[in-house]
Amino acid sequence: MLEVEGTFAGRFGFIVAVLKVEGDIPVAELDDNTGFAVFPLAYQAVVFRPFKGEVLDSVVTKVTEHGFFAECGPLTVFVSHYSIPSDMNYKFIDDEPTWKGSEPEDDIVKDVSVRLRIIGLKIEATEISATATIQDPYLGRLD
Amino acid sequence: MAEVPREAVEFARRLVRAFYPDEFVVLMDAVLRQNNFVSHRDLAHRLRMQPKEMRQVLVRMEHARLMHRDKREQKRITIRDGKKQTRAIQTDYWYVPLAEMVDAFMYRVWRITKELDEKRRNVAERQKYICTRCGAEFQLIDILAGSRPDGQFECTNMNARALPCGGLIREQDNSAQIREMERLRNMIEDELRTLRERADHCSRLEIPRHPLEGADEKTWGEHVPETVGAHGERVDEDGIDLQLKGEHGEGKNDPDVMVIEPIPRERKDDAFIPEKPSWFKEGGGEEEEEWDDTEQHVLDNKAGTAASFAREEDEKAYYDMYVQQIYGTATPSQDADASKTANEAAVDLDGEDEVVEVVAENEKETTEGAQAEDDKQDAMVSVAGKMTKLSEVTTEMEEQMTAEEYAAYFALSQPNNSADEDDDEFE
Repeated sequence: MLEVEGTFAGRFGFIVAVLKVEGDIPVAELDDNTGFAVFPLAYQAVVFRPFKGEVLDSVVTKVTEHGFFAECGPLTVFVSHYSIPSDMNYKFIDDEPTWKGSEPEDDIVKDVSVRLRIIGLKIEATEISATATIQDPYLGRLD
Repeated sequence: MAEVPREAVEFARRLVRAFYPDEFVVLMDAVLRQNNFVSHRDLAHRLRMQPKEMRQVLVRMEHARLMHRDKREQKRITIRDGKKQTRAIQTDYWYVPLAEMVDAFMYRVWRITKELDEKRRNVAERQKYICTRCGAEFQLIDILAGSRPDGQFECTNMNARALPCGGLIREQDNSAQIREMERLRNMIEDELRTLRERADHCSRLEIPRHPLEGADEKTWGEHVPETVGAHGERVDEDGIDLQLKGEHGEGKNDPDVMVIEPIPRERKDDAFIPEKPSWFKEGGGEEEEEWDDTEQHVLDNKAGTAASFAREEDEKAYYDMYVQQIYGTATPSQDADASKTANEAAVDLDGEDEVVEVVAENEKETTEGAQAEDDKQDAMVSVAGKMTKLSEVTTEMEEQMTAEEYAAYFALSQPNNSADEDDDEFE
């Protein structure tokens, strides 16, 4: 369980938590390289798989002049400055990069919660990349 | 005819002037001036244009959904030689579909604005990034893998040595495209405001779908449905593409697909055919023999062969039978073949039973005059000064007769109901 939790399983998405193992534990197979016994198991798990157009709540991790990075659990999402409303500008406030909006409660800095909508997804074997937007109504900073 | 709101007509005239060439404007004005329903010939006459040339422009307008064609069939009664004849004449009429024009304009404007908004969003969302070192182009989603701690992105494109490029990525300037999109969007809003307001007003009016709604069909003729649509597809009477309706059986068992079978047209009665003569064969004329290119057949067809002689004999016997029916007397050739029976003489004719019937009828008809006929045959005629029985006169003897002798002979050889009976009728 510790091996698979938190990993990316391809088309299933991220494995968040293993619920139970289905069936009996089968006979193991020996791995010639390491000498370990490998048990092929079927299990039920809670997975997280993002979809295009999905609205997610995230936490901002990094703010740059090109946009900002946010994390939705195991998924890292990038919001480009083209997907940020045009009334917000990039500034340095108290030596902290900030996307400043028309009102103080709209400013986007590190560690704030932001609601965004996924507009692009790139699913590979070992990782997944996503881009999002906050231009639509009811998107942007939450708290 | 249906009453058309003036606002709809005005909208159509403004619309065609705004977007379409001058020839469209001229034709549309001409049609609208004629109560929005005019025949093709009348329109060409009024505009002093060649009908063919005008039709090319009208077809283009029809493709642009600015004009509709209506084919009408009218009954025209003509009197020729004192007889009344009814002819069905098809005429093309043109009219402007005002209700459809309003709907089409509103839909097109909505579609254009929607596409511009989509393009504007796509230009922003699909921002391109370019590597300053190798010049490779990336989408935003592709550069995330090369993000650096300082927030910049570096190129992950593999070079010839299978090493990542590592150059700094900057975004491509697409502000010009975005400005262009916004300019077009604003232009549509500003310049089409008047037309959109008029279209919005017309959409709330009651505009008839067809200018002849409520009109008398006797006056304007019966509508002839088109079988070919504006773009060459096969359509039914309502102009619906037959393929969508499952013309060939697609969706036959699908309850959601409505398949409508065309109503067969009533066929006109066949022209009156007079009573046929007794010798007319049913089922058409004589059956023609299939042409045979074999040598024997070619030889048979050439004159002078035995087969051709036999054919001539057949024709002669047929002719004799015809004359006998008409005149009731035997021809000289029949006398020459008196030894042959009637059936043998007509052996090559089809319908041997009919021939027998004909002969039987002739015999029945001539029962009363049979005795008189016998008396006639015993009459004497002069042939080159010699008295001979009428029944014994041959063709050679006829050639030996003088003109007076031949006239007397001819008078005697006429049928019984000739001169005397005619005189009785007129008395």
